[in-house]
Amino acid sequence: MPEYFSQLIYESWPWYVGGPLIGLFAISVLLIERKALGVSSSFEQFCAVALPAGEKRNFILKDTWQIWFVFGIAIGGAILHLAHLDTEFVQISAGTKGILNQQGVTDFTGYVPSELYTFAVPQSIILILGGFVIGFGSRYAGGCTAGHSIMGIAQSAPSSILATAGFFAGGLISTYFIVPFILSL
Amino acid sequence: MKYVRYIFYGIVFAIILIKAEAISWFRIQEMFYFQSFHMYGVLFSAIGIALIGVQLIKVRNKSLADSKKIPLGKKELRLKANIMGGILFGLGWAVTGACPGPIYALIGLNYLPAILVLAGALTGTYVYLSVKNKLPQ
Repeated sequence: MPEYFSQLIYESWPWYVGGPLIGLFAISVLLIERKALGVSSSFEQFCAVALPAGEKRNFILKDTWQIWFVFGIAIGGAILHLAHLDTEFVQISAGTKGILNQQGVTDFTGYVPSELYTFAVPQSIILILGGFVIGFGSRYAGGCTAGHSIMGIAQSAPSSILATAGFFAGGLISTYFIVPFILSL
Repeated sequence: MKYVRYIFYGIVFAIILIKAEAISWFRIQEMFYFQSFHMYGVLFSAIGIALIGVQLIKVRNKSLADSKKIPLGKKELRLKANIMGGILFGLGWAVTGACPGPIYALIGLNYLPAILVLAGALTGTYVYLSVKNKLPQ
């Protein structure tokens, strides 16, 4: 087996492999299923189940394919994890590693820091609040990074360009002002 | 049996996102510190390929009957909603290091506290749906 082939299986992919595949994936789903890629509407699908029966519930529930799709995303994660094909270290730049280390991150194994992803009290509340603004914000903006930043910008939709600018503005505020505080807790 | 296909798409999408490290909190921080091209490369090349695909579909659609056209719909422009919702989303994105797809992928990868992020996201969506009509769009 050529070396690059086993690298693709056992190691993380460079951007020029992963990025184009995401684009190809989005276009394939559009061609085969006539559906635009998106993930955040799955939140609405789950919520609709909790709504009282009626017009509003039926309106949201017309697109249940997303529930199966996100179920598949979780299964995909589990498959890579069980097969040990997920990476042990994400090779981030020394600069970022230094900044995060100064802010209190010491565990750089896996995809997320164990200092933040824990069921301990302040962290749990932060994860829930972070999730809350992700849910509220993505639905308010009309989509997330998949629907707006990839599918939307690919169609040069003004709404998607604006929303993506918002994603980055919010992300910068968090990274420079909120995350350092959270990591100090 | 349609749902088997949808689950399959999810598995494929998860493998790409995870292998590209787009689900990593560390990569998201690095992106916002502008210290690596990785995430920008992922995003720009994904958009580039999707853009080419969309153009080809547009050309092909022209020669097809309306019922056979591949639906291409831009999301409607809602100035205040796009910007304010976008900023809120961004705040949560950099804190948790996860956008919606990665939340599900992280749960699958056995990072169980990501369930809290999902619970928060569902609550946030529910609250949004309840107050939707009172918000500036």
